[in-house]
Amino acid sequence: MELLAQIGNLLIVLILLALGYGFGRMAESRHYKSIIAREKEFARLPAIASRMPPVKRPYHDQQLVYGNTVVSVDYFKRFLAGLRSVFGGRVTSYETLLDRARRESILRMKEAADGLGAEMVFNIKVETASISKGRRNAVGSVEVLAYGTALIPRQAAV
Amino acid sequence: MDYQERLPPEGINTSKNSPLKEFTILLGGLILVTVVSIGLIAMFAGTIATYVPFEVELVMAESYADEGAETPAEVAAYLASLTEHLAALSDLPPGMRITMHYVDDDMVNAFATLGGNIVIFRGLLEKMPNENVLAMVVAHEIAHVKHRDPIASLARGVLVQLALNAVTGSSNADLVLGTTGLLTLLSFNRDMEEDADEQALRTLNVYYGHVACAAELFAVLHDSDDMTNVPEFFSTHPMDERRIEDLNGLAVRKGWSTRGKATPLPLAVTTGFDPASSGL
Repeated sequence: MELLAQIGNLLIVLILLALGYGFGRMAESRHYKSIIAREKEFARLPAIASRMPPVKRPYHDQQLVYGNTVVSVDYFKRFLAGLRSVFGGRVTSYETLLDRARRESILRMKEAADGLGAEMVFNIKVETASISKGRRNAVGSVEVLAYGTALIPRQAAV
Repeated sequence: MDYQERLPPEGINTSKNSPLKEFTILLGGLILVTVVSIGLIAMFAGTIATYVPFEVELVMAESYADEGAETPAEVAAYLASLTEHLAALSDLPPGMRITMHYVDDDMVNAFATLGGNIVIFRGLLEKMPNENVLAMVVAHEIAHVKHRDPIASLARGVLVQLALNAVTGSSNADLVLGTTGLLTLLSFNRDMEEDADEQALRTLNVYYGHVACAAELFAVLHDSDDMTNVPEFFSTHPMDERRIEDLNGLAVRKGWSTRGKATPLPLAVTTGFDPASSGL
């Protein structure tokens, strides 16, 4: 009986791993496609990290813009990261997760700036936070916040 | 300087290697490390455990209550005296004591456990055709104690469970040191059983001057065993037929006589289980 229960547990883990891998892979490739397409679209809007705008632009409004993303890690990635924690080394399974979250956040920030009719965004900062901090056995998710100052040309200035 | 539209470069912040490949290598490595280390623990734990002093075993076994309260006095006295005689002839190391317990239960079984405690069930005693076979059982269990098999088996079980817990991250100490597990679930491997058989036969030869009827034990066990169809490889007790052959071969090699008069069991033991006389 106990053996049967253990085989059942093992099967559940295997199914979760397969589901995690399948859906995780699908979601990731779809997300990357969308990220790359939108990065092309918003390439026209400069977004820089310097604290001051590169050229003095009079007659511009300034406004805070931000983009926020929460991405959850799938079962397969978490399992792989757990295995990594035994042997050490680069946790490659989490790399794409954070890469996707950062780029998505910057894109959302740019979308916000574009909606305000901004010319550019400067002083960009990116912050990362783990949402499931301190809770064991919870599937972790990360939040990435990107924010900056949008420069919006004043319509009635001229 | 004019602004130029440039896309961020791809593939710098992420790795291109296949996660499935990484998964296979890591999981395979972990399983390999676990299996090898548990194998090493199982191999050496028994050897190391035999260096635990017998006094420590006595202390460990102290917490278990004696269940022999309802043993009929004559049966208890007979078992105690038989055990004492056989123990005296088993070349026990100094300081080792054997205590016999009788359990009023139908189970056809007997076992040796920590602290030199031997337990025999009524079910097995009922099946004994004569004293020689019973002496074989008792001498076999005494031999387990002499060889320190209970502590070796316990050490192996506990260490393997601890190692598994460390890998899986679970921490159920109850499973490791369960009270019933200590007493009854100690399992001995085939080498231990064969060594115990040999020692038991030697003791019997000294006690009776012959080893007749000793191999009958396995015929008795064979008849009452439901699991006789288990292939030998999976079974810890050597197959009964093979065991009988081994014992006879051993007796021939050592020059022990396999012919002799069987000693009958005392009346108190044989009639003690008669339903009519015990009022069941």
